[in-house]
This record gives sequence, structure tokens and C-alpha cells, in this order.
Amino acid sequence: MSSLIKSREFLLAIIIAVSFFIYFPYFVESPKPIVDIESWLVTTTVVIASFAVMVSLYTMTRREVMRITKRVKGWPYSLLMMILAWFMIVVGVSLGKDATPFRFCADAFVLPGDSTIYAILVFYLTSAAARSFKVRDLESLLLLLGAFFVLMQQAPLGEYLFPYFGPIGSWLVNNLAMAASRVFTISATLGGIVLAIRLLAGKEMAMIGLIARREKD
Amino acid sequence: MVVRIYPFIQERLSGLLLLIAMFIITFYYMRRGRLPYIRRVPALDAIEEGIGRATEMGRPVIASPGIAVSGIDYWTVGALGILAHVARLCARNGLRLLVPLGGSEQSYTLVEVARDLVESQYRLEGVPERFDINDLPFLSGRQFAWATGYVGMLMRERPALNVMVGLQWGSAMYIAEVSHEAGAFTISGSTYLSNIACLAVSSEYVTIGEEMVAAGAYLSRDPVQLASIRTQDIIKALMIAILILGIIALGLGSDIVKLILST
Repeated sequence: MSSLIKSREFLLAIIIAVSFFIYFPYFVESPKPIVDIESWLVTTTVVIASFAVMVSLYTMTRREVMRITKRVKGWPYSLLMMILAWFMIVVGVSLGKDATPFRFCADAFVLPGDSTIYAILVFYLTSAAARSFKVRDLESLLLLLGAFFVLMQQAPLGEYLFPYFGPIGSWLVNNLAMAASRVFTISATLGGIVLAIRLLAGKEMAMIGLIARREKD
Repeated sequence: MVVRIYPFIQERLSGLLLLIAMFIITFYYMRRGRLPYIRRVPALDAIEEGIGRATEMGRPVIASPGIAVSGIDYWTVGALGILAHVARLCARNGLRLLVPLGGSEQSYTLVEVARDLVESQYRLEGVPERFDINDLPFLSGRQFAWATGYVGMLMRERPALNVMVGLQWGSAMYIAEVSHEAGAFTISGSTYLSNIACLAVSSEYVTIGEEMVAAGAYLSRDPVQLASIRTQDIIKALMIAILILGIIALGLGSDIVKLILST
């Protein structure tokens, strides 16, 4: 039984069956049993993800406890994180996410941390922009000019300084940038479909890696 | 006007026909088994260069399959293909591989898949004892907390190569810039259009568009897998032809192409 479950053919059969029940109701008006199977598959994904949360929590706790017991450099941070994480889990599960202690932890620790890191991005964007906007050739000059017009279009005083910043910036965004973004979207979608075909044919490397390990075991 | 053909769901028949055509073309080229011409993808070729750098410097490699915001979607599968390649090269060259996992509330499934994939590569290379699950930590289910952990690993471990692919959102720029500061050779890939310009500046190489999802086939060098990429080129040529036809038809006052596509 276990060799059947681990076999490449069995895994591929599951992939093909699941794909059929997802694809078919999307394109064709299907009888209720098929639609029910589709809904069940989507719900199953949520259930599997919930189990994965527990596994991730377990491995995270194991790693941090190991760091604390071995006194790895920075272990007090691991201790602080473990205390906060488990406090939030216990309070969240027992009292709910709207309970005052849970909201306090979220507002006092989680949200400020997120906001701080998000704010730091501005400085990194500026340093990257400073490197990229050096004029070395014609292409980098065009990049600089494009960026300048779009920046001035977005800047609060841009159009007051020069009324054409707005129309030029809008034209660049709505024509050149839009065309490039549609090329990106079309090519990426086609790549995704071909990847799905390779998966269904059992040819995708990531999938073969998983199966090959099991065959070797 | 929208043409509706029972029992196909409205406005999805053209998509179904395109999908069937792609299946047929792909299997035709797969059966032929001849190696088609595939243009070079510098970002993917550079992975071996980065691994060589890490081997010479005796420093670890860090690789991320992204934050999997929508679970294991096609971007993440493509990224897992790249991660498997990096893991195999690390196992072969005796390099330590760090994989920071997490980043979204949907990334929990990816954590286990990525660990299994990396472990399998170490086993296949005959060095299972080198695999250490502690080098593939789950850092957080929140994007910026995960990014901070990632950046911490970059600064502490000073890896020689940073491969960051898969779904990367606002945190990608933060990680790529710190990676640059940490002296890592950075190869990035983004599915988030607004990120590409930023990553192109911060990284040594960047994959664009379908390059990441084609990575599994490209890196395998397997003619059967590479044949599937030929389908993309054929359909892209078809799309360009449809676009031109649509522009001409609209210019002549007819919306026939739009009508066919919306069937």
C-alpha cells in the first residue's frame, strides 16, 4: 500500500484528477456532483493549510528552543519572541482576537514593527534609484528622463512648476509602461499554462525531485 | 454582443480552445524529442557562477522560493524548480544552504514542500547527513517579520550567493538592497511588475516574466521539457497576430476579433 502511495503513477493520477475537477466546472456548466467535488477540493486545501500552520509552529518553536538552550548568539531575542508568540496564541485561542491583551500585543509589538520595516523601504528605494539613475549611455539617459517625468507628475508641486509634467507623465504611464505590463502579464500567463501542462505530464523538475526521493527510499 | 454556446460558460470558450491548442502543441513537440532552440536566460545561467563564487569563498548560499501569498501557485512551483537546482549544486559542492521560509499566511504548506525538496536533493547527491532542517527555518507568517529575519540571516551569515525567486512583494527591495550591502551575489525574480525595475537595480541578475516559470525546464536541459517552451513562443506569435488583426479590424469599424475572443 505504501509503495502504491509513493509511486509516481499514483501521484500523477491524483494531479490529473484534481486538475480535471478544477478545470472542468470552470469552462463547462457542470452537474452538481462535479461542482460539489470542486468545492470540496478547495475546502481541503484550506484544511491542509491549517495543518501546515501547526507543523510550522512546531518547527519554529523547536528551532527557537534549541537556540535558547544552546545559548546561540542573540538567544534573548528568541526567548522574547517565544514568550510573545505563545502568549498571543494562548490569549487569541482562549479569549479571541478582539480581547484587550491580544490587541495590545498586536498594536504595541506587531504593527509598529511592520510599519518600521515598511518605512525603511523608502531609504532603500532612494539608494537604489541613486545607483540606477547615473547616465552611462543612451538607455540610462532615457530611463532617467522617464523616471524624472513620472516623479514630477506624482510630486505635489510638479505640475505647478511645469504644466506639462502631468500630461507627459500620464502618457508614459498609460502607454509605454502599460504596454510593457501587458506583455509581462501575457507572457507570464502563458508560462504558467505551459508549466501546468508539464506538471500534468509529470515532467516538472520540482515534482520529479519529490518523486525521485521517494523511489530511492 | 456576446455569443454564447451551451454548455460552455459564457466568455470562457475561447480560453478553453486556447488551452486545448497549447496541450496539443506541447505534446506534439514533446513526442518529437528534438532539442529546440531556446534563448539563453542569463539569470539562470548565473546560478552556477554564484555557486562557484560561494565554493571559492567558503561561504554559504541563501535561497528563497518566495512568500507564496496564494499558496503553491505556478510562480511558486517555478521557484521550487530553481530552489531544487540550487540545493543540488550546494549538496554537490559541500555548501551550506540557508532557506528562510514563510512570509504570508498561505506560506505554511510551502514550508514543508520546500524542506522535502531540499532534503531530497541532498539524498540524491548522496550526502543526506549534510542536510540540516535548522537551516530552513520558518521565520514568520507576516511579510515584513519574515523579511527582517531574512535580512538578519544575510547580515549574520554573509552568504556569497542570494537567490530570491517566487512571489516577492514590497519586502523584495529591502532584502535585495541588504543583500547588496552584505556582499552577496544576488539573483532575483519577481512576479510583481512594480518590483522588477527596483530589483534590476539591486540585483546582479533578474528573471523577468515567464523566465521563472520556465526555469524547471530550462535548468533540466531535457529536450522533452524544453520542447514545452516552444509552445509559449508559438502562442506568443499567435497573440501578436491577433493583436494586429484586432487593431486593423477596429480601425475598419469591426469588432469581430473582440467578439471571437469574448465567446
